[in-house]
Amino acid sequence: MTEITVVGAGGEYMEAVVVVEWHKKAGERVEAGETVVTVETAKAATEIEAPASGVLAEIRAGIGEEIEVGGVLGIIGDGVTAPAVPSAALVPASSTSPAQAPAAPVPQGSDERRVVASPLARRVAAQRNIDLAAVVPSSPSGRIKLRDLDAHVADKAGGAVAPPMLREEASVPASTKAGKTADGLNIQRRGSRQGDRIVFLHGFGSDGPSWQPLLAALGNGFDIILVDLPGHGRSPLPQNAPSVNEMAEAVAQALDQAAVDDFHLVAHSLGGAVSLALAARGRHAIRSLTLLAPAGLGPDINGGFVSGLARATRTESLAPWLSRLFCDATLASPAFVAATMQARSDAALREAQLRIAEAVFPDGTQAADFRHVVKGIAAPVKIVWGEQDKVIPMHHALGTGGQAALHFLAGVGHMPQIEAAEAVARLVKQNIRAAS
Amino acid sequence: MSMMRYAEALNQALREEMQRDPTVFVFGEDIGRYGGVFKVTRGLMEEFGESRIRDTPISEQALAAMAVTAAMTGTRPVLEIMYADFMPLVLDALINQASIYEYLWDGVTMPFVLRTQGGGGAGAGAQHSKSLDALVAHIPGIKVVAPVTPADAKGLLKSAIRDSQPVVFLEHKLLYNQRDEVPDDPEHLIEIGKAKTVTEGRDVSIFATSRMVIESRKAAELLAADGISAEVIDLRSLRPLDLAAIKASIAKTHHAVVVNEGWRFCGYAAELSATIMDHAFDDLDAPVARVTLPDMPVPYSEPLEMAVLPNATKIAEAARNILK
Amino acid sequence: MKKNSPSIDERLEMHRRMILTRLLEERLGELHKAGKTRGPIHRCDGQEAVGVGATAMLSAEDFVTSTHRGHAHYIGKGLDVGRIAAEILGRETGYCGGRAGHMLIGDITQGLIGGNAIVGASIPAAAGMALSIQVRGASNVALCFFGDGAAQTGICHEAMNMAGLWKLPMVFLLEHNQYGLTVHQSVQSPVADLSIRGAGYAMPSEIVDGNDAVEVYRAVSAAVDRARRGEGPSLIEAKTYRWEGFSTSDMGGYQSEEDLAAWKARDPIRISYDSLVEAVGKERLDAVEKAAVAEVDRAVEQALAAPLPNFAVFEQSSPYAGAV
Repeated sequence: MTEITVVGAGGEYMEAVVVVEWHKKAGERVEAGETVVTVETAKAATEIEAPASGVLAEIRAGIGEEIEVGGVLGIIGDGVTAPAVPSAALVPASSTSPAQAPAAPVPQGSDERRVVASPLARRVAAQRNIDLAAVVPSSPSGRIKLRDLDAHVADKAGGAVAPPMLREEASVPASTKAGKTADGLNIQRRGSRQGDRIVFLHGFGSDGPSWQPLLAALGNGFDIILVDLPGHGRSPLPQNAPSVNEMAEAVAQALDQAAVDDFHLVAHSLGGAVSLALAARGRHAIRSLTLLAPAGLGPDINGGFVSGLARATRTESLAPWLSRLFCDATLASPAFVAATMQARSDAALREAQLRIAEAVFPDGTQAADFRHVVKGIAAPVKIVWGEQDKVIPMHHALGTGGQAALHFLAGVGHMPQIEAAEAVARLVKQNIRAAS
Repeated sequence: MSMMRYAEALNQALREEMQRDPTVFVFGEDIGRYGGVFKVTRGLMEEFGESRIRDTPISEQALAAMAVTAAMTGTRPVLEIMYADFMPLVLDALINQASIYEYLWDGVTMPFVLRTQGGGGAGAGAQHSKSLDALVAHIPGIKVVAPVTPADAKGLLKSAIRDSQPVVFLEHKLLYNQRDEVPDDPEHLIEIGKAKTVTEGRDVSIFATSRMVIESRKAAELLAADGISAEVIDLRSLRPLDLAAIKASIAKTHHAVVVNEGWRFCGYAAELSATIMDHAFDDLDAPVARVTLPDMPVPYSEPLEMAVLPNATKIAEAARNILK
Repeated sequence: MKKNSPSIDERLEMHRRMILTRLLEERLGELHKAGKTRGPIHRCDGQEAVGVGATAMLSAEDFVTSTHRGHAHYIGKGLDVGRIAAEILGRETGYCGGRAGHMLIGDITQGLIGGNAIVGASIPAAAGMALSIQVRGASNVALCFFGDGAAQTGICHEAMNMAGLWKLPMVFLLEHNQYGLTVHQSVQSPVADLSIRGAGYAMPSEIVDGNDAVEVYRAVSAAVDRARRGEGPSLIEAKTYRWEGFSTSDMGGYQSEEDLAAWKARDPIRISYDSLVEAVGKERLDAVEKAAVAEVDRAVEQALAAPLPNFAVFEQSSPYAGAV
């Protein structure tokens, strides 16, 4: 089962697209690479290609319907099995957007019996493709609540709980599925399976969906893998704060489980250090490495920023730190701050990240040094840095020897993938081309 | 920082704003020579004179209308209405006058503050114990705030006086003697429209107004003993509402209890429930619970009055019910 | 010339404005019959001398509050007939962009703040403005128009009491047209001359012929001077009569033909004409009338051709913070 999602069509951090035309009907055969649907943004109409061959099993968004970038437009099946799990972890919604409508209606057991469930339980059940009719409510109110879904899934799995938000691929071998543990990192896949495969590792305090502006600039045609680092996004919260190497090990395992061993790697900040640790392991075929303001190349880091970001419990205390991320502080718009805060609204997540910060950046210093790794990588390496980076100084790039190409961007802060998405996208594509 | 009573914090705010801006003036019944029945305006007449601090006859209807037009013509009036139960008398001035002018007439500002106090628990009887928040929060063009702590009282009153729109400032008779730290800074302002998280929690959000925030904090302690982590949010601003804070809290806890000392039917808590449904429906794991006055007058005898007022026990019970 | 008397030029201007008012009322009556207006319109035919005479000596910095029957007040205070007509016809080019209608027109720049459909509301409104003047120590005055019906409201008494108590710089102009809606004043008050109440509030009062613009001018001018000197408010009762019913919805039948005929024989415009014709000449007066006709014709024509407004939600009244 493969989802047809919107990746390259959106232009800004959070934008919706409108479906203009379906070129295939439900039940029709599609070939990978065929244009299957056309969507429109404020900027232009974009054709979306089928990411895999199969049958267009389900159309989720009809003509004229608006869907968030990252949302599911339709499902391509093999024509035999039931529709796949709808995408779960999407781009964080802006605090002013209306509540998302639940995905496909959950099939119910009997037409006469009406299932009573809380709005939250309904939404999550739809996302996880759980049949509410089979769930037993534990509340004396008779209403199915969120906890009943977890209990139901645990029962069905016979005790072994699958990670709730991990997408499953029909093509993943059964042996790998059996090897999954409850501690696996959350991974999202987007785009076209036929394209060049790129793994993205985000920075401290961030998550997979934060790559959206760069994905939009990259456009269609890539096989996108977004990994949530331990203690970030929807990945499990570690009990003990992992080191950079331990994080790289977790990423390696998650990629193994997804049968991904041959890929280009794009990484930002802390993710940059993790990507170097990953490369050092030598277990995967990393075809090119694009590092954006990476950690791991020197001792300096703005400790005040890291702890300020990690400690912030609301938008007022988060906004001043977020505005330091960019050369143009207005990029830390109220919507951006609100969405970021919403993604960090879980206090346990914030605590976990604080512990990680203390472990990886003790006393405002970078503990790990991976400069030697850069020198040893055979594949093309690009290091991109904003000259106005207030978090990690750009001069760290100068200590990596002569092999890596260095790109310094004027008027850009610590997040070139947002502040100069087009430029970074060009560099990533160059790096990918250089590899083949 | 200085330790002071809520009433003193209000007094300080009035004094500072009147020193800062000569167009600010205070009027109301017994507020001049007597210093106000709750002593909020004590000492002001001696400092600012009888033109800017005026004792008035018992004429709430005209006084409110006069506050509206005095504010439209170059002054910043602060009108004290002794009891919130007298709100019906000022409603024409708020609803038929203040509410419409900014919309109808170009170039209008109406920077007036209408201070009042309400709430039960003092044995004052059915006509001196009400909180008519819903009546004023319903009106477009009027801001409504209800500070709980002395620091917020000072900061919000200063903001209210400096605001170019009308502000109804809801005090509570049982809050006047609460003591707490207040910043000395004469520019200590609390932004109108910003709620405050008083206690952080993960299992249930309790949104409360005025003195009910204090009861909600106690309820959170009761719940904590049962292992339930309650988040208490002091709305502070009844209108405009800090919708972002409400949504963020419910996104975290998925359960909401709303506490307000008004009547249940068509009360302020009812609006919060509707607002939560509009903006956070899919995050709710249970219906919104309301803890309010029952739909009846506030009785006088102590056991009767205590029976109608929301309290920590009732709030904790409401939270437990929806968590079940 | 008597003290506080209008000059010939002032009288000519009052004459012109009374004609403008009468023509506007008549055109509105035609438009109403032709189905081109919305809602009831409260015409002031026969009462023009009161509104025009009482405002002629005021400046733009003096404040006037008006009633639901305010076209003579608007025009007397210097508002533009074209924008009044456009507002009444609901056009974008009206004084309030079509949002207000004929009873709620206001123009802060001219000190006409403003029409009011709540009977009696103009009275404490002017008192509030006078209070603002007094607190600021300015030398302007506020004048409220109100009718014999409004004189019975509680807010009238509250406002007059405070105005007399504080010696507010204002003028109470009671436009006595003998009817509160359909009910004769003898059935609304036990006294025929309401000016007697001035004594109850320690303010001087006077009865004038409301159909003689010069009489009205003299009385009001004296009262305004008193107010500016800090001697407090006055009550002026201008006896007059309305010809066209309480509004365009009036089904009539309660005003006797004899009364109407008698009052129409004392048409204020006729009285003004007769008093001016010797000094100014018939040609001049005819020219003034002709120009007035042209002005009102143009005003109505332009108003009918002007676009209707587009709707926009008034964000300043939003109940949620951050929405503006």
